[in-house]
Amino acid sequence: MSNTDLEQPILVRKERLDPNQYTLSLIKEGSRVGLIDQQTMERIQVEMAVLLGEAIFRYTKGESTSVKVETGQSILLSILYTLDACMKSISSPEEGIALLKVNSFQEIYGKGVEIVALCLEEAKRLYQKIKNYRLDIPIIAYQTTIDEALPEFFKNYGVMFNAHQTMASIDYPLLFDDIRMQGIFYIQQYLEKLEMETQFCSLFNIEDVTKVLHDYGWLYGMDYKDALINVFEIVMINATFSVLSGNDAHKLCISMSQYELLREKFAGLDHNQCASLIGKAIEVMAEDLGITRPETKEYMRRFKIAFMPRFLNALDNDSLKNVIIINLEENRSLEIVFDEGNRMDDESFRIMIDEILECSETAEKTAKVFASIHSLGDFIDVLEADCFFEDEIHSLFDQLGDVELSILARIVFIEEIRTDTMGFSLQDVRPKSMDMLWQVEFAGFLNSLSTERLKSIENYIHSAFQATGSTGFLD
Amino acid sequence: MNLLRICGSMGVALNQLNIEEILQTNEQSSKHGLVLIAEEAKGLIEARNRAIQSHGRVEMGIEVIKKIIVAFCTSIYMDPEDYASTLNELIEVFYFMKNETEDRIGDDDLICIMQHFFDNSSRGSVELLKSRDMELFARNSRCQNEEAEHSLEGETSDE
Repeated sequence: MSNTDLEQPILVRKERLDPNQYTLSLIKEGSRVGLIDQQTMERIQVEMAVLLGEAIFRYTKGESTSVKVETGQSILLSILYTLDACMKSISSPEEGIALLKVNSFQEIYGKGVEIVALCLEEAKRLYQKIKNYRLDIPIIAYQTTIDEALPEFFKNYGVMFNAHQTMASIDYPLLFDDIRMQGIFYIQQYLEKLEMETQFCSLFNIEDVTKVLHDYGWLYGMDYKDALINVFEIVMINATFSVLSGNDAHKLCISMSQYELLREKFAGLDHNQCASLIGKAIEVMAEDLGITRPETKEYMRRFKIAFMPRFLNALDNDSLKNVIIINLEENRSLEIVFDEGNRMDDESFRIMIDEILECSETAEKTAKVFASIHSLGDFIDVLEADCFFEDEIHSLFDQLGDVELSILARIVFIEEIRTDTMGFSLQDVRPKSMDMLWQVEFAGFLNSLSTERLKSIENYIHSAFQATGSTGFLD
Repeated sequence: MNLLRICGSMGVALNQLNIEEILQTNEQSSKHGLVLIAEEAKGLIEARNRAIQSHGRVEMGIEVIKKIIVAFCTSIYMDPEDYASTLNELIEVFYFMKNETEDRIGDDDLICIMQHFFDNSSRGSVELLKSRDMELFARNSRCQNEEAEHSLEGETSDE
């Protein structure tokens, strides 16, 4: 054996260390590689027992030396979490083992308590900052997380007996949450990212942010206020494409014509070129928005890595409309058809049908329908009321946008969509014998549309399914 | 991984220290003619370990054993012949009662109450102490706690 072999340091295998039980796994590994001898092991066990005994006594306020197993288990986990807080702050496992050999568990635990307490203070400071500068958006999960879940956490959290616990109903999803973490360290990373995301979004006009969220909800057929959506991600996507559209970096609005230009721009690029273009846009955006914090810039780059597969998939399937949120101002008038809470009462509906029947011109009839009707249910009732001749029904469908047509398609072709949701296509729809007149005419109307228009309608059908995981109100 | 087992499996050296600590109580108990030998002290630790395990509890030190010895060695009903076995039974009653009283009574108070019943109504019978006197005490204690909780809930809902 050479001298070099003799001098080789014994190295701990880091893959054997468990981040959630770091100290215990380090002791086990240290013992395995011979860095911790039997005597030290026994001392550690005794000190651990003493620590737990003292903690139990404190927990019972000096009244009792024993507790139920569940309580004891929880107190021990809290102690181990706190020990881990100190041991993880040591630069290498070998140095950690050296520390274990010369310091008592009591000392290490004391340092751990200081670290956890400091982290708690930092988390409280961050929370106050977020609370003061929160976004004025009506996303319920975002607001209740700030107003209820986080205060509840701080109220229940204790460094001594439940340092390891994360007792809070935090609903608002971050773009990059680390759910492997526990206790105050989890909350701290959550707050750091929430603060970063919040600060980024606050660089935009809050009305523009709300508008994009609203349009996002409209695209996916859901009420954005109730949705568990990450605001940063939605804002970041539109801000990136807004820059690529030639807008000022502070703008989020992307018009239909800008969208078409973007679509054309990306259509001629390969995947690497797309990634490069988006990467550059993000860098330009960071520069123009005056973002200097390295961690925010890094977060934005992480966004790009996570976003690219989704973007490229949408690009390949010609469904960028599901990724880039287009400003809905141009289509806003069509929304009235889908307001389910705005149905006509029976008497008003009967009067309207009578009036339609009295009209001699198709255009007059159509105008009457769109002037009076504000819900999908009423619209279908009109279609089924036999007050339009076969050739007249097409004029009604003509007035509808792609989203409305996609909803009607989901009604007419419900069985086909259920059978093969993602493979369903409007390109080859055929009227079925049992369909009602308006449904037969609807199939005929679809056959008269261009391939591109049909694709757009299909995209809405598929995106509605993706957003809700079901065929929505048709179920 | 059973984490508590790691703490529970204390080394041989610590067990020896515990035995010595228990034997030190002989200084006081011997005034009443009661003495434990090392084997009996070890038996008490084993009885404690069995009791906390069977009653689903965690305890690191042996303070309770020493307190029970000090409290009961003055009893006129403590027979030198059955000293160790009576202590074993009293240890079992103690942990049983910790659960029965839902941890609402501290160690010192519980030992004091046990001692009172042992010296009076139970007349030195551990069987009567456990199955009659302490059982009744625990039931009354639970009823009082429930009533207190109900009245507290009432006050809260009134608000």
